[in-house]
Order: sequence, then C-alpha cells, then structure tokens
Amino acid sequence: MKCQHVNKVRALLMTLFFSVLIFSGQSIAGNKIEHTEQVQYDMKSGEESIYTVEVSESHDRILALIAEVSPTLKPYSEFHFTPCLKKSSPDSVAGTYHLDSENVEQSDAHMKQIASFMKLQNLSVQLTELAPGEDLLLMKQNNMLITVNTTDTLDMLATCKPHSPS
Amino acid sequence: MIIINNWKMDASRCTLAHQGTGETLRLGEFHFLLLEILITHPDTVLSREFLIAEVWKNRVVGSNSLPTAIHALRLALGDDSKQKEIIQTIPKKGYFLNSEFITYAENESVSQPVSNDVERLTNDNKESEIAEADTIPVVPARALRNKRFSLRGSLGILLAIVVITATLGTLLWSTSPPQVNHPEGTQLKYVNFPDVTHLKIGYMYEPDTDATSSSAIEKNWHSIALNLDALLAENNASMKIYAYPSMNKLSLDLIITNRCHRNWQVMLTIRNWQQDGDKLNNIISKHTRRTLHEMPACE
Repeated sequence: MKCQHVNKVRALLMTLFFSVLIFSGQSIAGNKIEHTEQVQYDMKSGEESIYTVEVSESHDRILALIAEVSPTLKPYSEFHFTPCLKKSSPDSVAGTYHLDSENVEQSDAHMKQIASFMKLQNLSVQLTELAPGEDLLLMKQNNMLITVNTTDTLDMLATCKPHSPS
Repeated sequence: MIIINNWKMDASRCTLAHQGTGETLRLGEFHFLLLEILITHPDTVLSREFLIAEVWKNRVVGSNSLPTAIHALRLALGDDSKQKEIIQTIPKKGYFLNSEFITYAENESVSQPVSNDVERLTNDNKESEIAEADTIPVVPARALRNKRFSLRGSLGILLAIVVITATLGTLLWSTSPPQVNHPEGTQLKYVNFPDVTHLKIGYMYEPDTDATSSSAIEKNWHSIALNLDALLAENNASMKIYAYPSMNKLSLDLIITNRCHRNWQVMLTIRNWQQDGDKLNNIISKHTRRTLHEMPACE
C-alpha cells in the first residue's frame, strides 16, 4: 500500500513536471505558425505569384526554404544565413543576415537572381518581439515582413560582436 | 540605410549626404523617386515608359524630362559624364542602375551633415514644369552662430543655476519617471478600431514620421478592417495584420488563426497598391478567404 501511495505521488509529480515542461515550451515557442505563403501581386499588371516559405531562426543560424507554387510548381531552394544582430531597442534587435550557403534550383531563374543578390549584399533585418517566441522580421532591402517562431529570446539573438580588423 | 557611391539617401528629406565630405544635396521629389525606383530594380533595364509611369504617374511629361532627370542624378552621384557607370543607358531600351555602387548599411542615428551647403539639382530640369512645381523649396542654409559667454559676467548666474538644479534634482529624483530612450529603428504601432473585434492591425513606421500616420491609417483602413472582421466572424477565426507601406509597395503579414487555433501566415506584397482602394480591399479579402478555406478542417 505504501509503495502504491508513493507511486501515485510520483506519477502526480511526473504529470505536473511534464505539464510545466509542455506549457513552458509552448510559451517560449509562441503561437506556432504551421504554414507560410508569400504572395506577390501587382495591381497594375494583375500578375500574381505564390511561394511557400519555411524559416527557422536561432541565435547562430537561419534556414530559409522557398519554393514557387503558383503559377508554376517548382522545387525548394535553400538558403543558410548567419545572423549578426544587436539590440536596437528594448523590444527589437537589428543587424544583418549573411548568406553562408545556398542550394538553388537551377531552373528557377527568380531564385537564382535572389541568390546572386544575397551573395553581393547582406540582408539588413530587424526583429521586433511580438510575444515570447514570436518575432516580426522586417527585411529592409525589400520591405518584407514575416512573423517567425524562435526558441531564443532577443537577448540571446543579440550576440553580434564587432568585426575585428584582420 | 542605402548608400550609393558614398552618398547616403535620406528619404524623409529627399537628400543625399556624402559619407566622406558631409556635403548634402537636396533632390526634387521626382528625382528622388526616380532614384528609389532605379535602386529597387538594380541591374534591371527599366524602359523609359516604365520609369515615366512610375515617377510621374498620370501627369503630362515633356520628352526631355526623363533624360534631364537622369542627367541630374548622374551629376549628383558623381557619375562620370563619359563613363556613366552608375546609371547606364541602354540604347532604345532604357536605363539601369549598377548594383556594384549600392551598399545597404544598418540604420544609424541621424547624423548632422558636416557642411551646410545645400545644392539644388532640379534646376537642371527647367523644361519640366511638373518637376519644378513639385520640388521642395530650398531652405536657405544658415551658418551656425557660436555664442560666446563671458564667464566673468555669468559666473554668479551659472552658480545659482547649478545650485537650484542640484537641489531640485535631489528633490525630484525619487519621484522622477524612468527615462524613455529615443526609439531606434523601425517601430511597431497598433491601430485601434472599437467596432472591429476579430482583427488586430499593427504597422511599422520610422521614428519621427508618425505624427499623422495613425489617423491616416485609421481613416483609410476602417472599411477594409470592417470587411475582414465580418469575414473572420463568419468563419469563427481571428487575424493579425502587420503592415509596412512604402512608396510603390505595400507589405502585409497576415497571421490567420482558425477556430481550432491553427495559425497560417500569408506574406502579401502588393505593388502599385495606391491605385485602387477597393481593389486593395478585394485582394486582402481574397487571400484571407482562400487561406481560411485551405487550412485543415478542425477535428
């Protein structure tokens, strides 16, 4: 009977422990975005193209997967960035994303152009915290906005040190 | 912050500031807009028709207006008159801006130009009445006057000020509110529509430019917000919209949450968004509706 009682207490504690873990994990991850699309529309010409986008962000790397889905379906192109961010205000960090590597589908002329551009210039970005684990990313060269889920806080993301002269 | 051939662009003042000498050039609104359009399409040949349509919209423009404006920009940017490397002319096709001369740097606190020389380039374009009508009047540059204080005469007053300030400072220290730092970078602000319950709208703006934006957005977006609110209520859903408007492009980020709390995101970029308010409303509604229908059904 004593063992059973102890086991029940242990089970209760374990349940509580896992509940806290799950709850805290959810709060850090924010409201998880399951699917992201990018739509580009020109009101003058009526041209429209749709891409599917996946971005994962942490303090030391960013992975972006992009593929056109309309008007033609194309394979994913892959971009790996290293961030260099500094705190710009209490609720935002700003800096650059440097393209480390890419794997672009050669038949996708648009993605090839973007990859060429990002080899020439770092992306200027700003991340504004919307909620814990949820940041609004502004890409300054093209004025685009995307909400990203991140497991890192702004303080953890703002780790860029000035480049030492070589 | 965009720097082109060492000239830093300041869109709020339509100026170019030289990174080395501090010299500031003020461009006319059309010239600045032309430069912005060229920069947003680097290494792309833009036809004369396209540039005229983008810069001068539906206005009647003289045949020399565009070449004159390009000439003025070349002068401003220090583009060699023979080489023309920054803005290149492609015969019978148009112009393109060489991306090698563009640098994108982090925004920094606004620094005052070293020199007070303000030149006006739009005078080159006297043929174009439109450009002249639209250019910003030049504010005469004033040399800073150094005021000299006579310490002997002012010592007593200064001491009195120091004593009074120190006393008041000590008294107020415990009750003074925390210091608010001047915001840096692009800021996020929310718009409040009391009659809209399923939608939250925020917009990004540059510091010191938001004196009237809020009321303008509240006025222009109210009908769009009401339409979307009705659509979302019908589907038992909610949505957050973050907006970043620029001259010829509106960037929206829509986060749509359906009735079983699943979140889908649509990054919507609308070029030439200022042409038709109703059409803009329809595009946003269309993609909201489409996304709601494409989201997995709730179990």
